[in-house]
Amino acid sequence: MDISVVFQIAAVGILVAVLVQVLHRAGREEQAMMTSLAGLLVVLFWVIQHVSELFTEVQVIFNL
Amino acid sequence: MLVRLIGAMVVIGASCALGFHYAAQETQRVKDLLSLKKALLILASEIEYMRTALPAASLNIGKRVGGWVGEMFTHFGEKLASSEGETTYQLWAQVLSAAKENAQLADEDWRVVEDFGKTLGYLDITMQKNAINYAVEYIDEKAASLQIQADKNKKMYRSLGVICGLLLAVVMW
Repeated sequence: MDISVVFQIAAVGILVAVLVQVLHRAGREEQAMMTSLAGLLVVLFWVIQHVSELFTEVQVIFNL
Repeated sequence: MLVRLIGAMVVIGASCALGFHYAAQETQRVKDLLSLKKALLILASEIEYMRTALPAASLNIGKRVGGWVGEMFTHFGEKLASSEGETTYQLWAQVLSAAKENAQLADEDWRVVEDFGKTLGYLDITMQKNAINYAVEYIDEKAASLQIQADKNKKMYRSLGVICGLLLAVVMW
């Protein structure tokens, strides 16, 4: 697995957290929530493939 | 790698520029309203103290106020001087529709400016003064509330521009 994806996820996490704070301060709670949701979806999109790989490997290891 | 880095820089730069552009636009309406107020106050003093006729007063305002407001009044003065039977309001409306392209005013502001045109050159000095006062009061009230909003939004647009650029660069890396 490429380690850079971990750093990318960390960077997205930090930036989305700052963005949400900025939007909260400006009184735009709705947009703040949508931003955090969008960040979550982007990260999930990256991670889902690795999670699926993990599941198949667990199945192979334990002969399930 | 280098191309990727340059691409990321371009994305961040463009996003920052967009943020700063929106931040600048936020204060532009207040600036436009204030220069309109200046023009109206000059018009009031021209009418009240110097008793200047409307075409000459408009041309004077055009010389003293810069930007699209000055151009608008110069245009209006020229049109008044060479008018052929049109009413003052018709000329004012023509000038306004030409000025709308350059200004950042909202529809409600234009309505007040347009209504002000209906009273131009109509009845006596007192009525003219009252009409100018009404428009100036509207501008004062609007500019004060917009300024508070603009101060808040300006910071938000700037930080949004920078952070969104960084986010986009990271997502596309």
